Amino acid sequence: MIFKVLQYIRGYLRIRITGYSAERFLNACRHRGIQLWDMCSVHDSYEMNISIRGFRKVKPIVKKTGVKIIIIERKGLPFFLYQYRKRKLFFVGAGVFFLLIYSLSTFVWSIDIRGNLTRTDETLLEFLNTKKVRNGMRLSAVDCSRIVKDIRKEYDDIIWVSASIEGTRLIIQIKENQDVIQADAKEEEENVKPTDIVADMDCVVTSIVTRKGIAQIEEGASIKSGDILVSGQVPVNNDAGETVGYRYQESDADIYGQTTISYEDKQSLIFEEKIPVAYGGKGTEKAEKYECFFRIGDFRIGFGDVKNEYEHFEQYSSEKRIKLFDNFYLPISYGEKRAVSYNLKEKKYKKKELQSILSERFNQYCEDLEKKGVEIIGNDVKIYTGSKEAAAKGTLTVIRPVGTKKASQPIEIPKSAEENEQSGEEMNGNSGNSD
Amino acid sequence: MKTRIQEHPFKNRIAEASELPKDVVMGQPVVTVLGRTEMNIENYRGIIEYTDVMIRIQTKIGQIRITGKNLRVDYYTNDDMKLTGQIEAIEYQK
Repeated sequence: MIFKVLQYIRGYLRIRITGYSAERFLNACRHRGIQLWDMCSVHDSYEMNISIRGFRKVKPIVKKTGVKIIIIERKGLPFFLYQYRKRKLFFVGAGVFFLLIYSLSTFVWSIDIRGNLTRTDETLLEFLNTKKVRNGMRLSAVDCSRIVKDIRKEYDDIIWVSASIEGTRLIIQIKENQDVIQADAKEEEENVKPTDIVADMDCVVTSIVTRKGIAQIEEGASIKSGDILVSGQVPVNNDAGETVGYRYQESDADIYGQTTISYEDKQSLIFEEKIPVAYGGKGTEKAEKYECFFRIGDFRIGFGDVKNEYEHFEQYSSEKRIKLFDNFYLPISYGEKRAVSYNLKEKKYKKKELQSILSERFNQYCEDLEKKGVEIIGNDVKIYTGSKEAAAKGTLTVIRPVGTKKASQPIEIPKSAEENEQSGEEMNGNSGNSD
Repeated sequence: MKTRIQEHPFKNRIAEASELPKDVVMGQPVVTVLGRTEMNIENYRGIIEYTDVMIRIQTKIGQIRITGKNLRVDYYTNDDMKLTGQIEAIEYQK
């Protein structure tokens, strides 16, 4: 295939050879490295292809062997160009083509970001845009090391960046730090501030599991909002059972309490329904207006118009920007607008409809609670229908997580400073026990 | 009849001892036939006669005569040549 393309570009001739010692001619050609191909014998003569360069060297051989040579056909690009040499615009076009290809290849056509897991392409592209790195910029203006530095400076959790240019693409490879949380935890251990867990509502505690801190309540205790449930200050006792100090911790516990929630939901019986105005044929006003438009930059061409004198109407519009490849947005967009007229009509809900609306909303409410970790153990919500509105009222009995974290008030150590100093050694010695 | 290999027993022995390919050492022709429509010949000296039913090729060990129908030479270079067409017989001649 490549061989044939090359032959076409270089150009070749189809020749016919007649004469007594045609075979001698073939061997002589071979000897001088003149390539011949697609040879066949027709009656007393041979037909074959020969390259233009080969044909120029063939003259002495023709003389020597005394064969007659006839050119049957000229093929290939050189002959093609010669034939159309007077079509100047063709050559201008070809020149412009190559010029365009060359000039267009000096711009960034797409920015490819790889390895970003927690940040979207859009965020990073937006950031790059503020640094004047964007699609359509000149390739020569791209400073890869600058981009790398900028990204590293802006984002702390991106630990490695590589920017490179491949053809007309700017490729940015990123490695994000996935051990952020662990590193933070270590830091915190060294410098812990005591935090308590404080009740955020009145309830009866049904279960408590403490992981860090000291529980101040037991299962079955009824608590009030503001009570400390878990203390973040763990007392350190000496041998005598006296508290000599406190070890600070960030309290962590799962506490569940039983409580009741009141629920109320109302729904008016009357509602307005939108009825689209049907097109009534000739004479009546058309109930819909339509416009499609095409926008290049700030210049906008529209066909049709959505201006109208409808009493009520809904307007829909959509616009789409044209893009090349994945993220090269051109300043060209197209879209459509539609205004649909409608009339309002008052209607009353039927009893069944009301029930389904209210119970659906109640179910949705329950589902939302369950998503938050709230377990519903009983409900007495009922639907009441009045003359103007219907309502769902009642209470829910639930078991839900209790407690919010709050910085603890430091507890004074109930001993004088002098004694503290004396017992300092003791404390150190017994720290194993007190833990 | 004495073949050329027998004429050069020394060269033959060297080729066999050194395990070098004989087409390189002895200059013997390599004929590769694909089915009965294609044929490659390397290490030849030249075409002696060529018509569309018969081709005679000179090689170091003598002539190779190929008969058939619609015989064409696809290419013909210093190293090798390729024949296509309906091949009927391949004969070695002295």
